[in-house]
Amino acid sequence: MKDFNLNNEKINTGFKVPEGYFEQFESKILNQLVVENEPKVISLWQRKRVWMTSIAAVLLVSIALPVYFSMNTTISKVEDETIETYLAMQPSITNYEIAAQLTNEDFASLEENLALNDDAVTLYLEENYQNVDLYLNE
Amino acid sequence: MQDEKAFLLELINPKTQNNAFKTLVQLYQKPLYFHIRNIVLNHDDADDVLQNTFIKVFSNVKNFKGDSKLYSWIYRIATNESLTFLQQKAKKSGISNEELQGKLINNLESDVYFEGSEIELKLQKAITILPEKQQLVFKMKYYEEMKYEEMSEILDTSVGALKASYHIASKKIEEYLKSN
Repeated sequence: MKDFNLNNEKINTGFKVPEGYFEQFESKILNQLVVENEPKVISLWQRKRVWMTSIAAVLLVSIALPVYFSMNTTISKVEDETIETYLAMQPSITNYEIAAQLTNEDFASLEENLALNDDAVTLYLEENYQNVDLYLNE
Repeated sequence: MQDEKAFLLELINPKTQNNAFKTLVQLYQKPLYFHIRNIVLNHDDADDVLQNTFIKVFSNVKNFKGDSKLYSWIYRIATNESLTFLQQKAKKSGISNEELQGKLINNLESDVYFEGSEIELKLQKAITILPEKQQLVFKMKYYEEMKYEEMSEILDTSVGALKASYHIASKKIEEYLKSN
């Protein structure tokens, strides 16, 4: 119902559209939508791949690092006890041979470390050696 | 639209989707563009909103229950996108919706994509004196020549209420045109 306008002529909006707008709009929007439909397949695989690559990298590093570090460390000191046990178990190595290896410094430190009192020494000698005299210095 | 159910299935099926979308765009891009442009007034904004509308339609068509016509559902999306767009534009500029509308109308005269006939400009200005809902009703009835039944589904308003709204709007505009 045209209540206004004396001529009863329809008044238009006055809007103009750029040349070729609808043609280019159709291609533009359809391209956008096709793109939106596809990546869902690819992206799932791509995400999995990234994830798997990351795990592989972490595993590699976690193996490689300890190996690298173990190559750099010096062999840790063998316990003294281990050496003693080894020497004791060798049939061919006698006490005399071991004693021959000892230096004066070793004797000094041995004397310091051994907490002996004279009574204990005397008792030991009487029990183990019949001819103590033979061993005594003049 | 004939055989809407079959068409809906085509829109959802990944195999037939792209062709169905193409049909949809070809069918609706022009009327939707002008419906949107009537609300947002300038071409660039209409272009933006038209794109958003189609993207929304395509993303949500699988959820469309078919409780209204596909046409009404699409138009409803376009209307809401347009109104939201204007609200956001006003907010971004820190002005009210009314102030924004005043600005847009003033820009019309120098707008390259506005024909600029005096009476056309006058009518555009006249419409802005109406409240938002009445503006919609008037534009859809007068400019787009929509049937009340179609409008009723899109705007979720009874035909009776729409007729009354249009009648009041027409009267106000008549007054404005006579005194300006």
